[in-house]
Amino acid sequence: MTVGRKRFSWVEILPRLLVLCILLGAVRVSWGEEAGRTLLQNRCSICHLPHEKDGKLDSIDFQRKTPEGWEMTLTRMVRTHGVQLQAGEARTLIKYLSDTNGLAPAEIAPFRYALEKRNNTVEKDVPKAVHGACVTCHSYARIALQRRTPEFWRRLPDLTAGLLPNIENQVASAGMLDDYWYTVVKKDAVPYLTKHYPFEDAAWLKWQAAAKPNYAGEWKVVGHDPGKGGDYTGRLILKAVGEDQYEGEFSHEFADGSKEMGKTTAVVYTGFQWRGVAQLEGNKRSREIFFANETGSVINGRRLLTEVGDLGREETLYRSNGGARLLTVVPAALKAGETQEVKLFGMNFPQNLQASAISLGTGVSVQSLSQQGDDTVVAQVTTEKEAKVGSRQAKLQGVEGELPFYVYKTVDYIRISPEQTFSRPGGVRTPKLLQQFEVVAYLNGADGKQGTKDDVQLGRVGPIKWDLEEYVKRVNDDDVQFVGAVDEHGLFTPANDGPNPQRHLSEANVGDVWVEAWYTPDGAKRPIGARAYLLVMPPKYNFQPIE
Amino acid sequence: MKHLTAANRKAEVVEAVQAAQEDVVGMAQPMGCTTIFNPGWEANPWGGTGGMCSPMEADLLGCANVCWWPAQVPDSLQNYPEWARACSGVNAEDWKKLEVIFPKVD
Repeated sequence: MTVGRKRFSWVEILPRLLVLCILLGAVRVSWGEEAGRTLLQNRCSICHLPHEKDGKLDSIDFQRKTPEGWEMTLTRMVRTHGVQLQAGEARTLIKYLSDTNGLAPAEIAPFRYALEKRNNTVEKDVPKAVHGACVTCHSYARIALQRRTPEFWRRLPDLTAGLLPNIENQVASAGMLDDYWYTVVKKDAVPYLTKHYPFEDAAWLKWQAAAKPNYAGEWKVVGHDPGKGGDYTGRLILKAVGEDQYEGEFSHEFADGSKEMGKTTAVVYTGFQWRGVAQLEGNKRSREIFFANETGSVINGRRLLTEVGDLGREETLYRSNGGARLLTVVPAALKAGETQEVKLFGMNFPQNLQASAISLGTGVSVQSLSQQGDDTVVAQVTTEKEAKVGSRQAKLQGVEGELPFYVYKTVDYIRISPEQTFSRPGGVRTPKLLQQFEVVAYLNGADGKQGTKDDVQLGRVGPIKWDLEEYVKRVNDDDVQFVGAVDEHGLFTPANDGPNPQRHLSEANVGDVWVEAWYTPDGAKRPIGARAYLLVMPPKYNFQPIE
Repeated sequence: MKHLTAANRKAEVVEAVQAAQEDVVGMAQPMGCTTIFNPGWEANPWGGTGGMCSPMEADLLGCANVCWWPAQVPDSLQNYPEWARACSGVNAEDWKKLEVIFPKVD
């Protein structure tokens, strides 16, 4: 018997190919408004039935949220309601929902800190009506970044009680309420939220109608890294790669001389909310949580250096258009009697600038300058010993914009930023939550008194000697030996999570300590010091897009 | 004890506080386990860490499961029922199996 090769038959192959094509077509996720609308119909309207009157999907079309807010809703749908989504569909849905049922720039602005993961923010002025009932467990921003119709604010307590059946016990244990949670939330919180965060809002209608900017083009970067790098400047070239999708290449130059290059991939939600992921050299990543202004000429926000957002940088992007403009001067304070390097950064500077083109006021002279491209001038600047102390304006001939800088003789005092903060041990099971400190110098101002309104902030100084000290709160308080360490750049790294057999009763590596900074100004006999309160709290097992 | 009486005002306060306290009952609902204003998971009422359930791993099921603290550990009644299952509390190293939640959709 011979075994011959089976004959190729299109009749058999074709249907299989067709099935494969259909399957591939189904897996391939499309992007954009039309795809989003179709997905919403296909995946959501089975439960969220369209209203007979106007076809609006129940619940979904009566709320407005940020991309992170919609992401939280969608993860809950998958987690507790069994929604099945194929790869990429969630992104399309979040984009569609953020664009159609999103928030306007003015609505997001007061609560951006939560999206930018500034988790050290102390929320002030939280209304009494929602404080005990809601903010005992999560941030006020989580609610204030939502808009709902009266009916859907009214339904929210029922949903919360259903999702979190132990809420009455939990909130009662906080001792903030004088009645049952459900009673208080219905009586106080719901009316407050209905009034202050309505679904129908003029700002949203206006933003919906506005033409949305295209962000492709050349941008100038001005940023601040509270860590080793310090102030930085840079360039970013963006190109559009799809509907509200961008790719870009950037380079940053830091005050400490270091450089960084990377590529970013971003999606713009609701026409102004930039969410990017940057791939840096050395396989490092950072996340960009930025917001554009309404005209699309300036974008700013926080560059998160870690997934949990404990470390980050301030960053502002300026669209490089036709005009010459000065954007920043680094450093922003000059010491009398010294020659220093000063960087003036902006856009479209004239070529071949001479030393005389820089104006820094009487007593401050430019020795030499070098120009890099059309955006950077680095000058050697001498400030005379007798130069008048005070605020001045830096100008560049033929360039729009004046930027303030300060001439000083001696630093009066220093402060640590932030002055009160937290960290969490980790590394074994949970992520370590680090904390970056930096030292800022001040002058006492005209009244000669420290800590008054006329004090002048000079900016960062160094080198700094960092230290940890015990904040004695109990007999044999020994936290400082276990909580972690602060390095020469002011970065506090906590110790490992879990019980520590070395400690009394195997206590974890938590505790409260002082972070101390010592700075010796030139010519001073003794260092001047400052301290910040650091609470090293227990680890965290639950990280939400909006905490 | 009935022959002893409080000798000064402080002792009277101590007696009053003791009288107001209820007996500990097995499996009673832990009150104030993990809230920001009562000694617990995060910080004590004075913003420090003294007097909290530390290490929290030693009292995880008491402090997380019944009286969950939704911001720092997942709610295991409804949202993440499997969360603490790996941590039986029998083995001192079990806490290393606890899941860290990063809700994300692709």
